[in-house]
Amino acid sequence: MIKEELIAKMNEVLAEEFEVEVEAITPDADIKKTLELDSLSLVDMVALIEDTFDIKIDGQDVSKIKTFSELYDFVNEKVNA
Amino acid sequence: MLRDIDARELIPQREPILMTQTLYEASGNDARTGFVISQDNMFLEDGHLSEMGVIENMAQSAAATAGINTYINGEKPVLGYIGEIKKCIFHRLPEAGETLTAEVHYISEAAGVVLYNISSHTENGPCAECRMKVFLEK
Repeated sequence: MIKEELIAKMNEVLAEEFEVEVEAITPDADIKKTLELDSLSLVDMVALIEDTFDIKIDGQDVSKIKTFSELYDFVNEKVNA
Repeated sequence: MLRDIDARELIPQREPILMTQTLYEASGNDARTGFVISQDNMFLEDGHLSEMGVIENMAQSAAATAGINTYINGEKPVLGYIGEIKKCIFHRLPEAGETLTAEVHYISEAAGVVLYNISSHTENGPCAECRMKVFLEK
């Protein structure tokens, strides 16, 4: 999967799951603020990404990621590993 | 694979609120538990376990599952607290005398919260299913 496709798919599923406008998801935006993630919902994002891209990711690694740009890079690396 | 562990070794609840009795088996982060519904169960209504009773069984099964890894290491089991229950579907309410089995399937984990899919059934068919988040005590 090329990175542009990954980004488009990621934005689509995140916007739907967390009920935000897809336009609000920009590379430099803060993930937790944009998606209004709290300590309970972070695991929802991890499960959604794992399910969408058929990968396993460490929740501890994801909790350190601040922006969508960093998230794209992280998932892209896992998908294409 | 672990087999036939007394649930009281994994969770703090005791009778009459104890709603799972035995962890039949655990493999990886998944587990299967069992609970015989007694005639004097506090969640019985007209001979059937109430929805709250079925949920409590699934919740205690998830909490017991969350405590397995520390139990394996010979440590005091980590306590799990229910954070959220979603997508709960009831198929039927079991009756006293039936054995309620809960299948706990690990989905993911982040920031001290574990996400499980749980389904329960008895010898007479499926009872309920839900998605549950469990906070792990630090």
